Formats: sequence, C-alpha cells, structure tokens
Amino acid sequence: MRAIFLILSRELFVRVKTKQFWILSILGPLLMSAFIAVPIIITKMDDSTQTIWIQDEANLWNQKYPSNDRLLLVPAPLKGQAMIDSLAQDENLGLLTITSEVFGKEPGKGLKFTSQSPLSMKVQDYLKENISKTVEDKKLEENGVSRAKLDSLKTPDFEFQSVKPEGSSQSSEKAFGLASVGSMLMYFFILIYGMQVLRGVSEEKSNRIMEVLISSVQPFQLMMGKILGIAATALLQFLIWIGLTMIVVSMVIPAFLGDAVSASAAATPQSMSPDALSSMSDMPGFLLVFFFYFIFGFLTYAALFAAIGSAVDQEQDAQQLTFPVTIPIIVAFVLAQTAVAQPHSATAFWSSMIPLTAPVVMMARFAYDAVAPWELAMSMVTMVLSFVFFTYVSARIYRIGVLMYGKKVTLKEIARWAFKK
Amino acid sequence: MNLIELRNIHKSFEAHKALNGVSFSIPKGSIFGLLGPNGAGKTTSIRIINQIIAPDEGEVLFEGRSIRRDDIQKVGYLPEERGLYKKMNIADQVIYLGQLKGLSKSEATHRCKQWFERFDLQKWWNKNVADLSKGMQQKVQFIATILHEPDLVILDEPFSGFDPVNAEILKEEILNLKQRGSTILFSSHRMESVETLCDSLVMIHQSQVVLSGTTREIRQAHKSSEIELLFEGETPDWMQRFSVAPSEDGHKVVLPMSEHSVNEWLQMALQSQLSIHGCRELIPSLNEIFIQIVQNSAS
Repeated sequence: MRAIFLILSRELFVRVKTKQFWILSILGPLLMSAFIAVPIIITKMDDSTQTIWIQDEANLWNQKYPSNDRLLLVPAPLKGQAMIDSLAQDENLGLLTITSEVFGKEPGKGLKFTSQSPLSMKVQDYLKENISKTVEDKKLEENGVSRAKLDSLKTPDFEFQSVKPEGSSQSSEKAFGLASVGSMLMYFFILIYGMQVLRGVSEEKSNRIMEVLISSVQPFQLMMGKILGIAATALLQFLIWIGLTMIVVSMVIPAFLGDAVSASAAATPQSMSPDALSSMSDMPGFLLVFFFYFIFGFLTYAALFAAIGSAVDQEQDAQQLTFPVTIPIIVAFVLAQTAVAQPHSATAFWSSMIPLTAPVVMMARFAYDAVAPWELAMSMVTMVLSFVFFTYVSARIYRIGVLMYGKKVTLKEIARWAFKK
Repeated sequence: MNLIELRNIHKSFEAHKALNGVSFSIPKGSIFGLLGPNGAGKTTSIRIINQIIAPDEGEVLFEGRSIRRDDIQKVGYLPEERGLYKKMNIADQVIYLGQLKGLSKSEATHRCKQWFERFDLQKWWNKNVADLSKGMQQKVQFIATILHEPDLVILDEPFSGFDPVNAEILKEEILNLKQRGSTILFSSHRMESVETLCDSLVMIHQSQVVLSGTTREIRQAHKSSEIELLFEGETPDWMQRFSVAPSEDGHKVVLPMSEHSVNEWLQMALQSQLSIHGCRELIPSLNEIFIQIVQNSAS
C-alpha cells in the first residue's frame, strides 16, 4: 500500500506542478464560458450604426420612426436618380419602401428594400416585428378593439411539465443540458487522462527507469499507483473546473455583460452553457453517479491504456494498438447522443449496461432520470466487475510488457501474454 | 557465508532457453563478477535475483534461506540501461527512489544531501536530468542505487559511459561499499574492467556456467605453463625451433615449461651470451581465458 501511495503522490504532484495542468484547468471553464460570451461581446463591440432611408407611402409610422441606437431610420432625403446613385455608392445605406399593400388583404406584402447588401437577419426581425405590430394596432383601432383587450384574450404557448408518477417534477431542458455536458465531460476526461496513462507508462519504459522501478515495487503496484495518481489529477482538475465555472457563471459574466447573458443563454444550445455545468452541483445525486462512473470507467480504460503503454518502446508505436481501446469510448460518445434523444430506448439501455460504454451513456440516461434503481445497480456492479477483470488482464500484460524491448508487438501477442500461465 | 545462492536455475522465454541449470553463490562482503558475452544470460540472472521475473525451476537463497519479497529492499540495482525521469528534479527523484526502497522521506532527504555533497552535486539539487551532463547523470543514478544502503549492490556494466576520472571515483566508492560490508555483484561483458576488482566470479556462456571460482584460482588453473623471455643478441640455434619475434628493444620468445624449468631456460640463454631484459611466466587474462573457452565450445 505504501508503495502505491508513494507512486500515486508522485504522479499527482509531477502533473500538478506543470504549467499545462493549470493552463488547462483555467482555460477549460473559460473556453466554455467563451462559447457564450464571445458572440455577445462581439455584438456589443460592434457599435456602428446603420442608416435606412424610409419611403413611407402608406404613412404607417406617421413620421415617428422606430430608430434605436444601432439603426437610424430617416425619411429619404433624395429622390429619383440622385437617390439611386447614393444607394449604389454606399454599401451601408438602404432604402425601405412601405406601400399601402401592407394594409392589403394579402398578408406580408408591401415592403421593399433597396440596397447594395441585404439586410441582416437581426435588423430584418426588428423591422418585421415592429411593422406587423403597427399594422396590427391600426387594424385593431379600425375595428374598435384595444391592444390591452387583445393581450388579455391571447393565450401563451403551451409547455409540457414532466412529472413522475411519484410526483416529483423536473425540467427537461435542464436534463438535456446535464446529459450533454455530463457525457461530454466523461468522454473527455476518460480519453484525455487515459492517454496520459499510456504516455506515462511508455515514458517510463522508453527512458529506462522502468527496470529500476520494478526492482523496487511489484509491477502491479506500479501500474495501480500510476493509474490512481492520474485519476486523482483528473478529479482535481474536474473540481477546479466546477469551482471556476461556478465563479465565472455567478459573478464574472453577469458583471461584464449584465442582462445580455440571460437573453442569449436562451438562444445558446444548453450543451454549451456553463449553466449546465454549474447546475450539476445542484444535483448531488448526479455528481455522485458521475464520480462513480468516472472512477470505475477511468480505472477500466486506464488499465487498458497502461497495458498498451507497457507493450511499446516508444509512444509513437502505440498508435495502432490504441485503436481497440479508443473505439469503444468514441462509440460510447456517439451512443450517448442517441441516449440524449431517447433515454429509454433499447440501445440506450444496453449501452449503459456494457461497461466500456456505460460511463458515457449512463450520464445521458441518468440526467433524464430514465434509469430504474435496479438498472443503475446492475450497471454499477458490472462496472466494478469489469474494473477487476480489466485490471487483472492488464496487469498480466503489463508485467510482461515492461520487460520487452526492441520488438514490435502485435495485438495477438498482447492477448497471448494476458492469458498465458 | 553466502549472501545469495542460485541453485540450478532454469528459465525459458518462449523457445529460447535463457538459463540452463545455472548455479553460483556470492560470498557475503565480496565483490563478485558475473561475466559473459551479450545474450549469455547475465541480465536474466540479475532479474531473477531482483525478483523481477521468477525462475521456471531452481531456487534462490538469500542469507541461506529462500528469498522473500521484502528482501528486495536490501538490494540496490543499477541497470545497464540507465534511466531517470527527464522532467523531475534530480533530488526529488533520488529521494523518491529511496522511499520506494523503504526509506522514510526525511531519512532519504538527509542521505541524499550527504551524497550530493560527496559527489559535488549540491548546486544541481533542483535541476532536471536534462540539464545534467552524462557523467553527472551516472553519478545521480549511482546515488539512487545505494541510497538505502543495500546489503547487495548489483551493478550492470557500471563503467560504461564513465570517463576515466569518474570511473576512478566510482571504483573508490565501490571499494568503500565493500569496506562497509556490502556485497557487490558486478555484471559485465568486458572482462578487463572487473578483473582487478573482483574477488570471485562466474562466467556464463550460452545460458550455462562455464567457469567459476576466485579470480586467482581461475587464472592459475588456465595458465599454459609457458614463459616469455625478452632478450637482445643473436638468436642461438637451440632457440630457432620456437617462434622468435622482434620486440621493442630486441626479441621475445615463448618457451614451454614442460621441457625445462625457468631456471634452466635462463641458464641456457645466459650461456648463449644473450642480454636478458625480462622473463615472466605467462598467466592468461580473464579475457584470454574466456575467448579460449568460447572457441573450445564452438569447435
């Protein structure tokens, strides 16, 4: 035990002392926040004002043009050829012609826009909304109905509230966010840190310290110490991410951007939203399950990565051997996407039972509360069993692999090491 | 008293028989040479003593009883292929390796400081291996090997990569270790490098022990009973049937002791008015003995 602990501590401290660890720790949540913040900031920074000339033939606005700080609406100062020439010369200039057709029977007619470049979607939306509202107001007025009256009669869009038979309710939007972020993080951490195990083992082999190490500790202790040390590093990084994201989400973004965030957060896919990450902390159950699957999923994969790392002399030689290990995790990530869409499907069920895909897929299913307790229990038991099995097999490969030099090893050979006496 | 004893060890890797009934014992407190060409089975023997691999057959005794797992803490091993972590500072590294051998952190740190002073490495304490010259790396690796004051120090090709000055320092340290009671196992394919240091040795060739004993015994047993005579003057008739070759300042000739004793050969030379520059009994070097054995086994 002491040996495993010593090795674990070394692996952890050597990694935590590197710049890369802190860069990734800080950049991770920032990158995630940047997904949301950057588009907002860019829109905010773009303070140019667009001018649109108005030819209001329908007298829709009665000279009261709905300009705002980005959009300047003015009556067209020129006429005829002079106007056309101006429009042809200035890209930022446009001419909006409103004909009486806007009040016609055929809806949606009567607007014409003349310009070198088309209107941006945003400006279009703004103008359309304003015009239809004005038209609507006029029609209401003609028919003797007040706007207030209409609003009181209007029925808002309906929304489904998901309720479980026992009575607890949940938001499916939040579940979607949790499912996406949970499975993505699981995939990311297992793959990135699994590769670190491979790299670490093959590094010890290629710089030849391996022989000294295994003359001091048993290969199994060395392997477990390394795997656990890297798992601890990953967990630490994950906790830093959660912590930092919570800080960024709760303090930094609102301070910088104010209300703009809440407006755009609604438009951003939930999977990218830091809200989803921080809301994980609202769900201790989800976090517990995440940690369980992370630990056992990581240990299972890490053992396999360690076995492969031990079989090669140089990290570069590992490329083709890692395929059989990276494919299941990539498949798991793909399956998780279908599980997000249909958490109750047979595919989702089975892939959350098979240990190599379960960690990633289970995150998606669990977020939707689509997992019965017996399913979770069964999946967890298979996770533990697979951890024991793969660690045993990998340790057998490892103890032979670490002594092999100067020979390109095939998968077939590795398999033989695993099961020979 | 033997510190280590190998009894009839067999070990095969797939079709290759690495050790075929190898037995030898290493007396406590001695410097013991494990010699043989590349691929003879030296590394396999060392790995078995280190318990990195287990023998297929046979037994390893440590201080007269079967070797146990925790005996590993009484062994220090400097492998032929030297290796340290490239991105970890050297002091941490040495302390870590000492801890893995059972030292407490404070004890390991304390001893590490002493050794760094001794080898004049203090100012490199916080440096990474990559910043060190090859000779310094070798020193660091040596410190890591013996930090826990092992009963058995296994040095595989210890002098490779050392310049003459550092090789001399290392030699001194090895003798110091012996004086303090450590037993040293040397492994090498370069016989001359260990000839002067080893008290006894075993020579392995093609997975088997072909020679063992004290260095003196072995050389005596393999002497060819010839003398080499260095002289100046005209080669006398009686000498013509031997191969006379020119030497630096005269000639040299090899004479068999089966015909005459040394004294008789000398008398004959003096009577022939030769001026004698030197005369010595030819005792083969380990290298010569080894080559002879290999050639015999080949033919």
